[in-house]
Amino acid sequence: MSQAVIYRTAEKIDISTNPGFSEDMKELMAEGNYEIVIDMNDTVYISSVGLRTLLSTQKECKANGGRMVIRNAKEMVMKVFEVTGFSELFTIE
Amino acid sequence: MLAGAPVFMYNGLLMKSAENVKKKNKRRAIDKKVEIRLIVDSLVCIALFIVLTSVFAKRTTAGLETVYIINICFDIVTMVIGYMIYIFCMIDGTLFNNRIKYYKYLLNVVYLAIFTDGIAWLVNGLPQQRLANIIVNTIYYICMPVSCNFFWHYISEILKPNEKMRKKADLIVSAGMIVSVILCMANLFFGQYFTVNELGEYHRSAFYPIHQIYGFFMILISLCLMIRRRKSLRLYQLMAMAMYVLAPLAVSILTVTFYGLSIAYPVMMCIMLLMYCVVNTSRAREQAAAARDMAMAATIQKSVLPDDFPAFPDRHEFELYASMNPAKEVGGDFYDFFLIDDDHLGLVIADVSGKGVPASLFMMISKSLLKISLQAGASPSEALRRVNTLLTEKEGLEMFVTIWVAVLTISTGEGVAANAGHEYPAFMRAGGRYEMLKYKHSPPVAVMGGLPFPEHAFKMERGDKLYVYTDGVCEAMNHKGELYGEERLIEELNRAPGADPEKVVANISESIKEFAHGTEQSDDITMLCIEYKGA
Repeated sequence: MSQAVIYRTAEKIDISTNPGFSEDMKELMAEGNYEIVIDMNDTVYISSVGLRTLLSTQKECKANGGRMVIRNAKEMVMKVFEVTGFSELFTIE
Repeated sequence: MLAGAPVFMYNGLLMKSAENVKKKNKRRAIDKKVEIRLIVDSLVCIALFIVLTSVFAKRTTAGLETVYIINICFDIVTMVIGYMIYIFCMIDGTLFNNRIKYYKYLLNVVYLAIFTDGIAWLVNGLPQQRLANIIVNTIYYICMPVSCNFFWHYISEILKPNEKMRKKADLIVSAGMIVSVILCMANLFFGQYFTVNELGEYHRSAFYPIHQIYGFFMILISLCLMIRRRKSLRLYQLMAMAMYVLAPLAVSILTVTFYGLSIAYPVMMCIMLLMYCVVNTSRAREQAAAARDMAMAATIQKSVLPDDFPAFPDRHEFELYASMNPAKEVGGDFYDFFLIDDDHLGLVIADVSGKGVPASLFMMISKSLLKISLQAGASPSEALRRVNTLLTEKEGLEMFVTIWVAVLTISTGEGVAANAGHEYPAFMRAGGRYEMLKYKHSPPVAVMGGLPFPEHAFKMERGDKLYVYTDGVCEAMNHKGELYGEERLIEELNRAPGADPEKVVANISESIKEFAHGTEQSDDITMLCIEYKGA
């Protein structure tokens, strides 16, 4: 993934911050970036709306021949991925 | 879908419940507060207005240059406009609550700036009014950075830049304002911006342009934000906002040769009226429509859940209780229980990831299809697969639903469950303690087609209890932003392990309420508890 874009997520991804996050993702993809690395080092909380954004980003990346990778997910975030079963769908490094 | 129906129809529908009657009373109490503020603010506005006009009347036009008079007339007219907008804001206030807070602040500052501008021209050249001249001019200068700051907050409230950028920008904007205000105050001692000589005449000093730097910077940064987030508003709304920053600039440039004409603030006030009309009122209309949709979604959601308890008065093999406490912004939680046949009980708890009417519709489909599938003899896994197939047929729904579904054989206590991305169930053996049943989950339903939903078997003995819930429980928040959490939930469940299902649900509800301590509930809180009593 040489031309991958790295995106650092905010501390919390919930109903109040997700619109900005979602907009950023759409913008990235609209600019033709379909190799996206989501660096979640700063994130301590993600709610279901955030999962939705990650999911639609992954879908769109895949549909355009790219991929989305999640990196540096903290324990709290990993727990959410596992409970919701998303750990099976996402590429987590 | 009833899009044109009046809002109050749904209010009428909702006000039946006692809870809503309470809400209605609360709203009246707020109205009373608003009333008092309205009176106080009006008195201040009118007092300033009277001061300006009476000073004008006393001074008369003698000795004033025509251009001053035009200027003062502009000031007086726009003060009236400002007061009118203020009244509109207060009347609409209940619709926007916090969202136009900064608009109101901005309005106050512009109003004050116009007032001081008017006074400044009236006292100019009167030696005995030298002190007043200095004071009003200082206030006038301070109004510029403060109004820029409020304008920034107002547009970022509407345009919603991403959080990181906003935090950074807020910091720069606030720091700039503080420096700018301090410099205005310093002018009292150093006179770097303006001075008033012994004759009471106002003169700009050499460093006057420095005062404008912050203003130009704010114009730039505001325009950047508007361009970046241009998609979030309609063109005419953006134009109104852009005019607010560009028009005073244009006026300043055009009137640069007319000494004595300082109509930038009056122009701003006129544009604030324009902004009010195109930005705020159209937003209010959208908000009213959204509120109506929400009310409708809440009604749909509530009405399809079985809520007659005891649900099976003639079945003595088990006892169950469930509740759903919707958040203000309705989500798509649901629970369900029904007899499949004489010996099988279907249990469901689920959470749709969206809000409002779309979530409610998603919920209706999931709920009905699960019930139909299970009653037709499908296993939990098969039922989930069918719902998943139906919901992934159409692309672009961008919603998913976490579901825990189980079928319990009543005569033996044996059960089969499947968990599609839903929270871990809490299980208690008779006489023991509650524990989370942790096992690998499959992803939620509607994420993608063709997913398998593995099942696992469990067995309930006499006195065993099973408690399932949605994320609204663990994600309930208190005022410090702490989450209720899984550990607290288990702790609370184990406080009264002997409690019957109805009591369990009541205990946890009470505990969450205590924990949140008035913090607004952001998600639906749904739970279901069943106790197996043996065949």
